[in-house]
Amino acid sequence: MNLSRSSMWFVAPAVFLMFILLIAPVFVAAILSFTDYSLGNPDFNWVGFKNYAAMAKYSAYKKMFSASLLYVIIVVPVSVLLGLGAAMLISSLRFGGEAYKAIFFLPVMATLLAMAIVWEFTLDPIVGVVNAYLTRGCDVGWWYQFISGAWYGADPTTSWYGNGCNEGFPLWIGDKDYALFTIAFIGVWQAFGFNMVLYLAGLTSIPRELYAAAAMDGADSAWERFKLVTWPMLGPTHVFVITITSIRSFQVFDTVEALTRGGPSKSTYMMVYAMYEKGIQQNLVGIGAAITVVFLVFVLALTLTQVYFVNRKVHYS
Amino acid sequence: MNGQSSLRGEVGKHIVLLLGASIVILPFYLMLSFSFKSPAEIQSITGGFFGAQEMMTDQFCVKQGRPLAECQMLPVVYNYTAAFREAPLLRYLLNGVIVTLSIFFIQVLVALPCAYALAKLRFWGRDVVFGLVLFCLLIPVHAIALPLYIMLAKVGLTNTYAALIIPWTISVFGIFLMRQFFMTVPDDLIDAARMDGMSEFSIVWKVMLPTAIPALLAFAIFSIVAHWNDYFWPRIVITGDRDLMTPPLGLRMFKSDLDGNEYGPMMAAATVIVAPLVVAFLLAQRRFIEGITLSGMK
Amino acid sequence: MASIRLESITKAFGRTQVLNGIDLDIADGEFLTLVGPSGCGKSTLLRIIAGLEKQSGGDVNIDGKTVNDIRPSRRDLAMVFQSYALYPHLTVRQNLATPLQLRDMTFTERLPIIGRLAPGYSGKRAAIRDAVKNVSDTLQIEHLLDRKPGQLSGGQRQRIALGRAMVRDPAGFLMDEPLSNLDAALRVHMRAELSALHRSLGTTFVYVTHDQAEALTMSDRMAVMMDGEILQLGEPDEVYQQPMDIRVARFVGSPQINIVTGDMDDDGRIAFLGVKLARRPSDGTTGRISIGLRPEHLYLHPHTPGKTFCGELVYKENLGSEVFLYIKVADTEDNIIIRVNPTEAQSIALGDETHIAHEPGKALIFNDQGRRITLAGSPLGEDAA
Repeated sequence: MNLSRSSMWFVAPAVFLMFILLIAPVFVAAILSFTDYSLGNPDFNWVGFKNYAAMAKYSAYKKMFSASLLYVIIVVPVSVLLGLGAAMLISSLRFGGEAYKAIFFLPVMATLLAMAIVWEFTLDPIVGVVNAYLTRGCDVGWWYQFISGAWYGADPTTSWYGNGCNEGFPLWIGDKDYALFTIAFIGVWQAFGFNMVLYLAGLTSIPRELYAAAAMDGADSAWERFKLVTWPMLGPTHVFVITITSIRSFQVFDTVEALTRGGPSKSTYMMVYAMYEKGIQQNLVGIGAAITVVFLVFVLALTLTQVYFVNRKVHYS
Repeated sequence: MNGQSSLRGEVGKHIVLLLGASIVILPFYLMLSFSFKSPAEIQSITGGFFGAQEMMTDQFCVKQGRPLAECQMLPVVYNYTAAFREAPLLRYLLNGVIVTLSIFFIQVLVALPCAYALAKLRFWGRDVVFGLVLFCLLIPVHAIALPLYIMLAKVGLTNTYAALIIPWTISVFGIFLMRQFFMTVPDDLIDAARMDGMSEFSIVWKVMLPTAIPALLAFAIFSIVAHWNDYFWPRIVITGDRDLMTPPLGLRMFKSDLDGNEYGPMMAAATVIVAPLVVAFLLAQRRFIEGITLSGMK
Repeated sequence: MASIRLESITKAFGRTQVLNGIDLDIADGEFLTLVGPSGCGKSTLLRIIAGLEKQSGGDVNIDGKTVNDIRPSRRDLAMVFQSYALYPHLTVRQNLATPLQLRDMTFTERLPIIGRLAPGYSGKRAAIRDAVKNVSDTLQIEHLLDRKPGQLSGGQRQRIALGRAMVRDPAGFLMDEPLSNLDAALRVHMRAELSALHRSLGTTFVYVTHDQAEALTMSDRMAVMMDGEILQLGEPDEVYQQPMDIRVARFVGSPQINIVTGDMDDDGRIAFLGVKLARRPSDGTTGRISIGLRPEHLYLHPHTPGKTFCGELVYKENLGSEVFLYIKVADTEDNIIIRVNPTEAQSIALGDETHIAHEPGKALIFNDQGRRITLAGSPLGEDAA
């Protein structure tokens, strides 16, 4: 029939492209992960699970997993709670809410790579503004005493700030103890505005009458109302915000590639960067593909958890 | 609730939010400020926001053998001219426009008919195709980058515009989004068009496309912002050929080539790259927020 | 048990004045309805009684105590909301228990696991369980207790909302259009149930609605509100039969009362559409007047000058047991509606010229400000005129 022939024409290009560009690559990655393929080599050998075994064996990959996990564990809760907090503050404002909303959303919009470079520059130990002002603060008596704890009778040299004044402040992305946290800070800076907007939408969809009912029922404090109405009513938003932030955190690449290249001493060696470094830069396609497969499993697990929650737990009506 | 305590609450909230806002805005402020200042001011962290704007000498200009007087300029002028000279910034911007627009148009070209068929036509295998779309939604782009790169390398397409565009021509999210939108369009509208003698093909482009403008606009913002800002994929498929670099990749190259005190021009380049989207965002906040949080509708 | 007394309550949102000095005494155990078109301020007034909204001026007294600064939950009032406002994430049982937990249990007792260790926890829990059971027995909702609101029909949710209000055994119930989200048949059924519930509980009900039929059928007294004022307060019969304001006359009654304009000569005799009334105003007002005639007070009558007016039948609305005739009368804007029985309706066809008379003594006269004018003299004289 005419109608069904035109349907074929409408659907065929999309289906073709889906197979070539999305589904085939997944299988190609899975297959490559069992080989020692390199681009340019005419031939390759099947190596079984050797690539996966390598991931379990070498410390670089253990660091990859721990760095990725730590990054996700920091960025997700912090950016979700900051997003929720900002949304609740902004939605309760009498004026000026729109301006804050625009400002907090700016990092979501801006080219992350460019902003990462600005952050690197800001945190530079020599010309960076942050360390410059921290150092200048050492000479401002009340500030120094306040921050270093001298005011409360603590020994200023044992505090983080006092120590920084004497020994010099951290190198941030150049210091293996700080690099991951600095990258995570940039991640939070970039992500929380997105979560805020989703929470703002979630908050406006809560019926006003529910708060009135809670007030009549005796939920007298703001905390009670939050517990009885706001938090549970944001259920679907929580699930979505947490999953999408986790997936995006797993995918962190721009800041790592531009600022640390996985260093210092692999402290920021995260999965997507590792995949890029091994599979593309070093042309170790097999191991790169194995990392890809593990990465895919993580992300699918997160997404399926989300689907489960959305279907089972949080849809109230 | 009496007025005074709620006023105090309001002030408290503003203090907290202003503190947050100042941290959020700090890199934007510094980027703009450094793009105005002379190297000396940047190094010593002086000069306020705009710098003193004392005349400085452009060494590059001197090396070219031009008279010294011609090579004196304001730091702000120097930074921006250097950005456009040392990094072929115009070229990057042009590439950015070509790539993002091509991607968006091809995405619409592929997705719209498919979405229409999935939403409004009954044909054998429709549920299978829709299932396929839902399945593909689960595949993250980072997971297919390596095999795609190998495939493109095999057919000799790396370091071409095609390599930048082809992998993004299919947007399953676009199909899904437009399908959901088309589901809300009444069947009567399509039947009326059929009674008027329109072919299915012209229904897609003359009836469905115009009704879908709001959704399409949101999708356009979603797609364009994502690909303008994308660094991961260009980094993989463009190696060395500056004429093909997109803005973020070009900026990254600029940073690698940095010879020490070129922070001013680099910040100028960053400003130029970030500015188009930020300005557009400030002009049409609601639409941008709607477009970028589209993925929240899934 | 609660009597509620409102003294010159005013409320303004910014520059918009929504309540202009409301005085109202609600007796203990009374079913009082606030009725009026949307935007008249009735819901705001109810929310002020509840404490959900702060009045701009005036006092709310409950049982003789001023409660202006007392929280909603401490006023011992319960409210049933238009959207029911059930907590969608809690089961029906938890929804019913929530107000009791918040009232009777301390913060620590309400904590998830630690709460169980608190002394007195099990006693309070049992008391709450009993209260929930009692209410669900009364409302016959035991079989719904473990479901969530999303799985219930509109009528069932309505019952749960009532139950949540009842479970605290409050001194008064506030209801904000509780039936407006139900379909027509269920609404009529619920009116009867609410009346029965009121009789059996014997507590004060303050009921807000825009539906005059609900007000007429259920209330002990009704207050007709318009533009932030109470225009008339009284028993439903009194408000219907003796509206003191033309807006009240128009609002109460379905189909609407017929309003025609009339003249009053210097002598004080009233005439409209060629009909003359025998009674005259008791206070000697003159000027332009409006005459209100309810459909049931008009009937078909052979042509009699001075007693009948005539028009053309344009529409018959057949309700089975009765028929409303819509008659186009020259010089009036709206069609005149009269109620007849089905046999009478048979005798007349669309387009026919008809003559109409009114029951003596039933015409309601309003002056040019819309206030009611009482008439003196024998209505029977109108027959003779």
